[in-house]
Amino acid sequence: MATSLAFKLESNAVLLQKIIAAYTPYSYQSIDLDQEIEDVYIAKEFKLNFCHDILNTWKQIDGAALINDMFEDLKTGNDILKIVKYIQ
Amino acid sequence: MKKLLFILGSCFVILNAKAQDFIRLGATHDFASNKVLNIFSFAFNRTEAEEADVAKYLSFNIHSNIFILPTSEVNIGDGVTSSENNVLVQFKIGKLYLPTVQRSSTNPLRTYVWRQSIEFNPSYNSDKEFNERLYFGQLRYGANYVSQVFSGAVPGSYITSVHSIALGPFGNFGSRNSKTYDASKFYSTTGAFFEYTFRDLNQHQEENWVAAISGNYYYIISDIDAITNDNFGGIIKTSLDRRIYKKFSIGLQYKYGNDNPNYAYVHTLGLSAKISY
Repeated sequence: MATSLAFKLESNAVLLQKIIAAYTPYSYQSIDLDQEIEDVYIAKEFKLNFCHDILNTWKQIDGAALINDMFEDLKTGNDILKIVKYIQ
Repeated sequence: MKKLLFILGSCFVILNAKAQDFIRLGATHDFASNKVLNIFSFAFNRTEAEEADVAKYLSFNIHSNIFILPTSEVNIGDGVTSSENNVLVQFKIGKLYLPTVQRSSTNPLRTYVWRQSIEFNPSYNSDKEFNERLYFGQLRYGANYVSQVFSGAVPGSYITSVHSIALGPFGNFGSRNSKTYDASKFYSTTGAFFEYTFRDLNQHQEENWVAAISGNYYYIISDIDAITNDNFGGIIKTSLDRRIYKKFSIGLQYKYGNDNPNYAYVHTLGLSAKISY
């Protein structure tokens, strides 16, 4: 049980790294999820696309809440993962 | 008092709006009357570049990409005589087309995307005296190109510049209620809009330079005859902002043209200080 959960969380982190990496010239392994997202990896102009990518990957998340929170309270990749962890 | 309450009410249509709010203070030269006017404007839940909406969504459906987004903009002070939208409240309902981002084939440090939107926006637009009031539905299609460039391909590099271009046709259909002419009439215009924004960022993700050009040009299908002799209306607005310290920046703005609700001609060059919060 613990192993499968750990595997799942790691997969989520990798999935998110890959989503972010699509916007950057970096390889996905070098995306640091502790870092802020906005304007470090993704300019605010791309926010809707980024949210859309996340929502497409984890369809259970409330769209409006995620978009509204994304660059106000949520700042890092780990913040997003917390939401993913909570809803799964 | 009633008017003041309405202004305050429209400001707080979206109570929790935080993103991209700003206060702008300054002076502008009006070429038509050859005098200097004060500027005092503030915005809630609305960016200067309209297409780059950083705002509070009431609803966003992931399956259909249909969204509901209320916005408001209020300009008060002397500036209203040289400003077009004095009070504008919109309740945007639209559908977005969001393709995946692409990597440029010529510059591997650049990513870009073309997006599209179709919107229906019930709107209220009036001057600060509430003499001219427009209630209309706006149909709008927008194509939006956004692009970002990184300083390098190694971790630790940063986004150096962002471009956003938006353009598309729109049509407004509704009614004008005029106290000035004591009349009401079917109000309708159709035309096109254009917006371009460029942001230059430093390694701390602060905007060193922001340049913006936006405008619209439209055909007046129906309106109160006494209010304008023109068949066409339109405005062009340009601005250049330079960050001085943290969230404090100074800027130049140039506006030329006319716009609703009064079709009053605007031709101004302004210098102002802007504080984002």
